[in-house]
Amino acid sequence: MSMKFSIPKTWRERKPHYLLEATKCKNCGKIHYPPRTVCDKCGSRDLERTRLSGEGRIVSYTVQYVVLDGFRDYAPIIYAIVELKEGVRVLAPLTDVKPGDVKIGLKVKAVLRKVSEDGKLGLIRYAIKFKPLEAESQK
Amino acid sequence: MRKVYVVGVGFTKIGRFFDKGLRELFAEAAIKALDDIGGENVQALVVGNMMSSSLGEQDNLGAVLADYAGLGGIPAFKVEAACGSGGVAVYTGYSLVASGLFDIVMVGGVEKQTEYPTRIVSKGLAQASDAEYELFYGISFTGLNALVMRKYMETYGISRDEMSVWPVLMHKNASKNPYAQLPFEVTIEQVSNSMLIADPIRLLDSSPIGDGAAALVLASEKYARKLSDTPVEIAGVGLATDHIYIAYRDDLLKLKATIDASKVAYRMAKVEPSQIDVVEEHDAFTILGYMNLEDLGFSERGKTPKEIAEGRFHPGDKPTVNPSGGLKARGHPVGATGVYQVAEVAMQLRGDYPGVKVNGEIGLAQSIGGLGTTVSVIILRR
Repeated sequence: MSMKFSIPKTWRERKPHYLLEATKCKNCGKIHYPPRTVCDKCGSRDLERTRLSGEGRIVSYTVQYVVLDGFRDYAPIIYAIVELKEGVRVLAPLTDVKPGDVKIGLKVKAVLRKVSEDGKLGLIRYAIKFKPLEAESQK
Repeated sequence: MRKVYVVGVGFTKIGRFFDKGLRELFAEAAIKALDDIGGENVQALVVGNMMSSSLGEQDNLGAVLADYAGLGGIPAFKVEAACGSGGVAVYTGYSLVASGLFDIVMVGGVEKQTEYPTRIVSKGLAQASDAEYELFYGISFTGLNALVMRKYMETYGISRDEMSVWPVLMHKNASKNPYAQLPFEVTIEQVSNSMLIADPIRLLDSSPIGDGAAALVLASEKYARKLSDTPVEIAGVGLATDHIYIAYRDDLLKLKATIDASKVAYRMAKVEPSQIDVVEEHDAFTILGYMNLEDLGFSERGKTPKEIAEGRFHPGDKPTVNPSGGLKARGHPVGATGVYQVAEVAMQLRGDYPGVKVNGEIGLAQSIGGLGTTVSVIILRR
């Protein structure tokens, strides 16, 4: 069995990757994604875990044709920076959409998808990706 | 703090050298720099390099390179800040001399990229990004820059052809550069129609993959005149960092670390952007060529492509930008690039640069690690 993907690392990051879990500063209220240990705004170490809504709009995107090793089956991959309702920005691939239908400002929501796999028998990485909301919800 | 001078420079041609490894490449540059100071001994070696570990399977690089450059036994170590390693190596070497710890220090940079196919090298380069939340998804370094380029074009209403003037100028400058990796001219049409890598970034928006090595000798004031008739002072240095996760930044259209690092360097050198004669900046992609000039205070946001089309920053203008051809066409041997830049600016100021010449007294080199995650700005004065 291939061991290219670390099992502890995949386990450790599961909540931010599967559930969009972030940290929120109990002192100043800033939300951090990925989660932090210290608030970068006010310096507080008093943070709590919070789940993000997963709904937002595309700030920018790219269609990546030349992909890295391990991602050939998915090429081309559309990546976007999405600004969620909470004002937090997340970078993730888009799914269930064609390159020509993507534009800045498009409304999207987070869904759980396969990201990559470590050969046929190794670990599979899952994480959130974004898909467009239905046409009537785009306004 | 003591004054620090560049007293010796040396570098290799940039390209694909299947017959040379990290050691041979670095030795070639180091020997040139040592010859430039008449063979005097150096007391320490700082090396900028990114991928000796990930691609070359070689750690402990400082010791290896010192040994094979004939400097065995001296204090030697590698500094790593992704594509900005070279600039941080110069920053570190400067600190060693300014502090008084040493009087004569070699700062080197070396990168060996052409051992593997592009998909493997691209993975190594992409390690400059957030491993857990960017690289995790397979986004390449080109992909990250493409997110910024699209936002820039959309925000300022700039067309594909308008963006293409940067590579055209860089290739024109590099066509007169004897050590450039891509010494040929290109047209706007060729740039705008080249292969898409990560839309909107095309092949000719991107710096090439290449091997290269560069070396500087830095000296204290006491030794500077002994070792060189034309010492060039390092008048200001600045280094700053920013969030690695680019989505975390408030504004995608500026690199805060460039702004912060340049402020420190300008203040230390007591100069304004308008006084700079020559700039070597870190145009890993077309979009960075423009944003860097805006962040360094040379042009207004969103107006740089138009200004370059009108002749601003070309040879003869002040400042002349990237007379070497920049990362785009001189080449970008990653961890060595920041050292090349300082060597180039020093040679411009002392008057023996072999390519497009700039007659001036003050120059600036900017080196970026990651997408603006680590930025160094170094100001030189004749």
